Amino acid sequence: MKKIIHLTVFLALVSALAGGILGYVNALTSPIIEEQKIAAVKASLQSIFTGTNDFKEINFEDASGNVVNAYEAVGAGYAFNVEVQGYKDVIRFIVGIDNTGKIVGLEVNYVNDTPGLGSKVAEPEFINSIVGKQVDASLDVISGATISSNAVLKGIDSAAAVFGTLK
Amino acid sequence: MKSVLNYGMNLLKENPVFGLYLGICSTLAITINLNNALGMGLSVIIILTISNVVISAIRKITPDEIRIPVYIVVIATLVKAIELLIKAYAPAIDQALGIFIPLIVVNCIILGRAEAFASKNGVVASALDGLNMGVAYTLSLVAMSLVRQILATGIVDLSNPFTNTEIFSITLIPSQYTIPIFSSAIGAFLTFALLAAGVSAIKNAEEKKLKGAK
Repeated sequence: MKKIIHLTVFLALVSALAGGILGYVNALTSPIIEEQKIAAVKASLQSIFTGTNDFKEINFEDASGNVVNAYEAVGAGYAFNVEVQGYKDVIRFIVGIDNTGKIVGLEVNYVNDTPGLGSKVAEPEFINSIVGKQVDASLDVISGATISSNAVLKGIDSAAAVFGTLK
Repeated sequence: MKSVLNYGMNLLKENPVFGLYLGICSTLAITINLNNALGMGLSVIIILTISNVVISAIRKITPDEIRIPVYIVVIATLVKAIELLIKAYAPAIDQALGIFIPLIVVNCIILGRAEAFASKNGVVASALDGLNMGVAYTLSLVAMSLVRQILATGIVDLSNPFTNTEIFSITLIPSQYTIPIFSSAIGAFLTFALLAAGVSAIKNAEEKKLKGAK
């Protein structure tokens, strides 16, 4: 009996000490990690919202599960980091929506679909066909790259739905 | 000079990766380029040395029945702390290594050294053992990554993990003669097999020489 208590107390002490150390390290690093997260996307955010320099990550609810992160460009609008399933791999992009509900920027960061077809979603022709429109307007798919471009449009719809809950 | 040679020979013979075949999973996965190899290697050196020191320091008060759980708690705490520090100060390494940093917890080199060495030896000896094993592991990673990166991309480069700026970049093979398969999993296995065979050959030759001397 004594043995069991000894073992239990020893392991509990070691674990408590470990927890304390981790809590300290976490408190030390978490603000810096938050900054790093924003810094990674800040270049993209700044090219979308040219007028402002004040970005912060915000909490959101997303029924579709496509929106990964949401950022507020204070006073200008919102940007959403979206990941959708494309033709053979995921497509990741950042879409910016200003406070009037207009799409002000689209930056495709990762696409691994068929070169020459699905890869067109990252090209200016497709991006320019979307940027400038209202989020509730109908957007055109690319013929020959229906699955990839539809995936992006679906992702924009998800972002628009989240945008609707934030306004 | 002779001691340096001996040290090198020991690194080869007692090499955790190519000699003892420990910690191979991460070795295969992350040796795509030199940056990853050094980032992973340094993390393991730090974690292995500190975990050996801590486990050696508490070896006399650790009850034998629960030593493994205690080791796991110590190692997991260290790995998590290092992971947080890497995320905060070297996000490029975090991006490149991702899941393989938390997976250092289950890297058998660390628990292996804790159980086989640190739990039976003094603090200083354990620290040196951790350092040695960490360096040997890092050298194995560097060797693998050099072979793979040069064959697959033709370029060797290194960048500062804290600022993400390039330190040097040398093109060795023109891009039309590279073998991209070496950056995939198949290339990892091939490289590992070739290097492990090489290390075995050296070890066998050494043993024969010793027998001949007798």
